[in-house]
Amino acid sequence: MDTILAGFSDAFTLSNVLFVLLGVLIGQLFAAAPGVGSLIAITIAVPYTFYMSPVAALGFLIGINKGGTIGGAVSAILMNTPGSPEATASTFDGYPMTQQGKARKALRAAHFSSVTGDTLSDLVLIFVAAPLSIVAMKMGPPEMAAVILVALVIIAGLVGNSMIKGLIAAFLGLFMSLVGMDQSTAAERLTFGIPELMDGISITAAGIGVLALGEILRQIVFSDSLPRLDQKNSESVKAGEPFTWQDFRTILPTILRSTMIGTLIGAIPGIGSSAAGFLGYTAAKRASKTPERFGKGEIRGVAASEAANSSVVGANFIPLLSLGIPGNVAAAIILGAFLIHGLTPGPQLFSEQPRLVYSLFAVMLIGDLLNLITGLFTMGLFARVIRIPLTYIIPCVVVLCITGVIVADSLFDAWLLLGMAVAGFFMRMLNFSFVTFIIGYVLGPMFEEAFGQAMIMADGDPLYLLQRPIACVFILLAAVVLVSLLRQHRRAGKASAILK
Amino acid sequence: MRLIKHCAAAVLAVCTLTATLVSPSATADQWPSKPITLLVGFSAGGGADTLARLMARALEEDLGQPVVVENKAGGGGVVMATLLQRAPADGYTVGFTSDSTFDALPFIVRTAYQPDDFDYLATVTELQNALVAGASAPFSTWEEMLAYAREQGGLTFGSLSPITTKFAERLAKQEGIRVRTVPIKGGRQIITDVMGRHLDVGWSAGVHQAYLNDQGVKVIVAMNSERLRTSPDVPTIREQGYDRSYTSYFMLAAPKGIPAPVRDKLLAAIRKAATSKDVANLAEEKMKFPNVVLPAETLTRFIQLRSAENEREFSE
Repeated sequence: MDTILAGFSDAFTLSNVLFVLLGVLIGQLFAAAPGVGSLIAITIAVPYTFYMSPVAALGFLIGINKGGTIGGAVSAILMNTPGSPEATASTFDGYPMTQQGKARKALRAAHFSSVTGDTLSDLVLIFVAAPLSIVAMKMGPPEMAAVILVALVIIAGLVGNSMIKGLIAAFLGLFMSLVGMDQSTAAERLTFGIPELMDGISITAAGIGVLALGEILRQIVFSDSLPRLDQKNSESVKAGEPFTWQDFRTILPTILRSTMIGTLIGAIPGIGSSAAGFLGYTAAKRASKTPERFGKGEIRGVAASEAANSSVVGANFIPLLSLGIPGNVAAAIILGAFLIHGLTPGPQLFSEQPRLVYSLFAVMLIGDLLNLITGLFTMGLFARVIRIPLTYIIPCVVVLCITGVIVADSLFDAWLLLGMAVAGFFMRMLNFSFVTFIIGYVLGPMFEEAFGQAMIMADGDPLYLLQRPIACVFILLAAVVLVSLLRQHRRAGKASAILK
Repeated sequence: MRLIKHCAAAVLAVCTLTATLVSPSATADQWPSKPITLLVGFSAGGGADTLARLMARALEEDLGQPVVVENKAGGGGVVMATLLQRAPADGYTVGFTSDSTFDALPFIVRTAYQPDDFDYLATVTELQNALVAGASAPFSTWEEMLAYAREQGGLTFGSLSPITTKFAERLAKQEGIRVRTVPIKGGRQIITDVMGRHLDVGWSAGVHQAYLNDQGVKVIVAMNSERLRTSPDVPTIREQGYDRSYTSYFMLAAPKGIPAPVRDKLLAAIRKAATSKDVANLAEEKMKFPNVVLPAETLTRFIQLRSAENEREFSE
């Protein structure tokens, strides 16, 4: 109890709160601005957290993550263009509401649904993570290898429309992660005698290159002509029908349902907020007595999508904190930030630094609160931000990307960054999932390590696995997931064949 | 506003100009006349990095020039040492890492440098190397561990680096037991794995000291040449009949050939910083590493001796 209080009081310093606030605002802004999502903001921000204390740094990044959950809804609702991909399902009813002059109501519904979903999933995290981490102490190398296997199978199958392309991207990520020094023999792998490569390709360079700069490159080349917000819609943000207490009561059951879905999805590594948004929306439509109103400006539709995609954010930290396995790309990038600050997420973090873990929880709750308060003012403001043309946004982002990498790593890594950006560009062009690429890059070395260790422990005896029942369960699970995903893909393949 | 900008630009220009003009003509009397770079062989965060940063701060106060810390982690310090060797020997670039970077790794990995490419300046702390087991392990002493290994048909050993792997090979050979070496990244993971009894024993360079309790770990044998401060009752590996021990240090080095007057000044400043209250406090209290500050001559001899030992061992 003392540790909990100490942890919470550590979090409540002025500088920490200010950093969380800054993060929330940046997250909202990036998610609202066209072309750049909050994920890009997190990747770019990591190197700048280098000089903060661990709590401030993580608070800042978590703030961005949280701010992004409400920013993305703005352009989805006002312009029918999701500011970040996870807000796609919010366009279905959000934009029709705008067309009916109810933009103000829709924005507020999105705001409150997001914050409620996010806060509830944080609470689940806080209550579940510590007991889970005790169980996680029972996980040795064989169990870790099995869990990572499950994560890899789910990710490879779920992302993108081609499983083969997803797997190719994941293996490319794995391949990139091989660069550097082999842990057991200290032999150099793929370093070409360059000393800077001995420590491998830095996660900042890989992440910013593929995720942020790659996307920017694509936008420069294809200079997406974005839809512009027209005057009428922009006015209804201020003057339209207000959001009432009655509205909140109407959407509350939807919020709770979507939060459950989002939290569950967040806790499983690899699915992510976009899928959660769609699932939450579909579930709300199915549960509704008037499903025909969905897609025509139903306020529950906005709430369903936003609560579901936001509740992924807190729950993503469940596998990250209890097992050290990132649930999605944002969590993978935040894992990198943990490592930069000398912290290894996983069961031992709870026993070693319980105080820090509770500060982290406190910071998350502060972020929720700030998101709630600032959203009241900023969402109207962002209605104007989304009118900034890409010509101004892109140069700023490029400068931030490059200086960030130089700050965190070195000039050498800036060249690596450019290479990775080109790779990220082509992956987008050829429809290879950059999500599986990055996850492969992050999970690859973890899998290699745990698998190698497990093999040595087993001493080449396959029956050794029977002594590790937990590992057996996870391997079975991986097999089940793989088979069901293959079936789904075959069915989807048949369906699309019929459509043609 | 514009005025401020212009002033700032002017100041910056003058600074750059002086820096470029002064540096080539800098002599020993003027040293240090520009910022000093401290290359650190560990990533940011964590104990070793904090120690290096405190050293940098203490040096800065003493020398009156900024000391810029650059983290060059990787390969157990090889990345840092490779860059350090290439730096000019003018006293403006200094490296911080553990001695194994210089006296062990060149014989294990193909490094671009050799042990005699550097001037060794001073140590800051002595590490506390130990063989540890989970508190619930059915053995507590060296003899019990060997008996357990014979009975169970072998031991699993969490290895930290090629050097500790080599130790496991010697152990297996000398005692006639099977040792299955599991390479593990990072000392903390080894502690977690022995605590959870996933591994029988593991190597710790000192992290174990925070876990010496009923749920944590116990020390089976001390790997340093002397007994460990936090486990004074546990015998050392030499006491168990081995002809070598594994004492190691966090230490500072510079490219070979720094002009003697500069070197003297640098050594004096480093000695002062390493014995300063901040550094000593972090080492002794937080990291529980003895603040052993060996002078340059002793350290150089130590590294030569250890290099010879490792060269022999790894060419076997």
